[in-house]
Amino acid sequence: MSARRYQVGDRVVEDVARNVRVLSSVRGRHVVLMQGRVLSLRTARSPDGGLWVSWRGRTRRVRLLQDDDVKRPDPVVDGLHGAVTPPTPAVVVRVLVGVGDRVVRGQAVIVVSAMKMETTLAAPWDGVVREVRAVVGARVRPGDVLVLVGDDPGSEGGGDGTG
Amino acid sequence: MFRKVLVANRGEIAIRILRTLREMGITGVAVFSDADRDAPHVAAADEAVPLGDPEPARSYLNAGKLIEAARTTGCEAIHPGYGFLSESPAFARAVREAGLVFIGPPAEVMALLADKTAARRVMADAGIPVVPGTFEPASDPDLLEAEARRIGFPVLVKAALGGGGKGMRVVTDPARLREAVLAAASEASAAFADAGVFLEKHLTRPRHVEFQVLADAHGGIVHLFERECSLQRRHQKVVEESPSPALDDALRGSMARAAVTAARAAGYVGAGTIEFLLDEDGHYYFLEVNARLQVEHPITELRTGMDLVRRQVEVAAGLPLPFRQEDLCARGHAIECRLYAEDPARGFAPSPGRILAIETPAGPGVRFDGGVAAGTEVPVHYDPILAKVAVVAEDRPAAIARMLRALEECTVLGVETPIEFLIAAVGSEAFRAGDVHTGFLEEFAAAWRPQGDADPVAALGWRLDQAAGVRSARLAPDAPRGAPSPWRTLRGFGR
Repeated sequence: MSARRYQVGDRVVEDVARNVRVLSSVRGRHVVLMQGRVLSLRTARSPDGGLWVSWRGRTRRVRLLQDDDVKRPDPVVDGLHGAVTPPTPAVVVRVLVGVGDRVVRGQAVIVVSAMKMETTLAAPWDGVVREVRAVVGARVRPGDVLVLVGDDPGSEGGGDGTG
Repeated sequence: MFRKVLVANRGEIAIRILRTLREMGITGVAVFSDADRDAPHVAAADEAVPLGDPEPARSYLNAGKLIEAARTTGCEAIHPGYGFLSESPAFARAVREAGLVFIGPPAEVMALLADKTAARRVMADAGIPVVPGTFEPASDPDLLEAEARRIGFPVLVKAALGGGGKGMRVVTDPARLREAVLAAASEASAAFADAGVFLEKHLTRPRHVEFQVLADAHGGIVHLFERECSLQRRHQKVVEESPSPALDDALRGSMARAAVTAARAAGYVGAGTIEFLLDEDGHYYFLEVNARLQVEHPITELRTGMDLVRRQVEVAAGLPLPFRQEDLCARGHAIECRLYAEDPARGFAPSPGRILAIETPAGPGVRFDGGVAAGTEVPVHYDPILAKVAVVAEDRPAAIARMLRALEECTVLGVETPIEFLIAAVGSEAFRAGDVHTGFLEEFAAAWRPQGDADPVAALGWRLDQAAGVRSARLAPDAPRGAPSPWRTLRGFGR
């Protein structure tokens, strides 16, 4: 029988705790004894179904992995090739490219602002801007596609890009 | 003395000011935007006035609404806190013209100091060393490009009316200057309603050392010793301490005299901070004056036993300082860590969201200045500061140990915070040795990863949460506590 597996942050962790005696467990405050050692934990359910756990100043987000769990889709790797998405909830401040523009990897394409800090988002690789979905002033979240960079038309035999 | 004061701010600093007002027997009036209806600073006030739209320009940055709120509630004075309108001479002037007292320096002094370039000129004239750079605000990239070449890269692009690292960019590659100028100007324009920027030579591995000053309207000026704020990210301070491990008595004395000279040269009144950069050879350069209460003021309060907000209110009411320089001393070692809603593992990216739970540290020598409560949202509109943990102890090693203990007692769930990162940084060999500079924290962060020891504990947390949920669903409310129950031991649970 294998132990259950959890996703903790971006790592997969097996639950190896044994001989755990629960001393108290009230409204997200847990004190347990494990081989004579006191562990004091604070937990809180997040609206997305995950669990926040804190222990001695260390905080983790945990999720139980089901057997059929596959890796969560990554917009850049899975399907949405060349998607530019904000790292955090933010507001679009400036759009620096238009559809058809040739861009090089690392080139600034969008500037977003969160908590008064501006972040410049860059093209993931050399190519041509296929779509610009970002609108200045729009509230955007991680996973939202702001700009879609397609493969260089040179390699597709295209050549309609004007850059 | 005033009977009623409006606090034109939010979050931890509004609460901190309201606490002193209550101690002074002054009625404290809070203001709040629609995003802050349930914010703790409102609950901490005696009265509160809604500002409406959360957008800063229509709420906490709206001078008209704030002055109107003060008038309708019968306030005699306005305390601006830090950030927002705290360093706006136009606001200070408007407050005065409305027949109210602005708790801060006179508008003319603020205007001089708010223009970082004008301040640089005044300090240079007073014989205080300043960082090489430009002395006039500009926003023309061509002009600034020429100046940058004259000064020599790397340069810092800074907002002329800036502060707190907003609108600031380091430029090493001359080709990147243009975008940096535009971004800094845009950020400056949004944060300070002025797009002017200037350049400063970017010193290598400087330390940031600042002196707290207090001046009354009758010519009395004292300093309250230094704070070292070298641990920064994006030019925003994260960890501050006092005294600075880099100063000996001679250097401390010299910088303190320069700070008092600077305050006098500017005609300063109220509580202010004279910031210096200290290079590796022990040369110091005037950086700027922060014409307000600083975020990190608690470490000065912990070492001097003084309430700086009370002094601000007294000076604004026209009272003279009740002491002279020789009456003042500071004891022990104090450290402060700022808790921002941000993720140090991902380049300190902002992490807005809802606070699910918060536990605050306590015990000997610990001070917690918080501005958030469980269940409240950390709005995307405002600064990401959640709280500050400050400690004081007999000496620096004891203060470090106390800070580590306090951080371990601290829990914030629902948004990412740097607590674990701060434990690593404050506990690092370099910090323990006092061997830090303003680039230290970002270098440290680049190599830092959360330790694995908390991961299995987190998995255990999942089981405990599940078991608690099942238990509360299955057990009758009057089930005897402490009775043996299969749910009270998790041995083999879930296998």
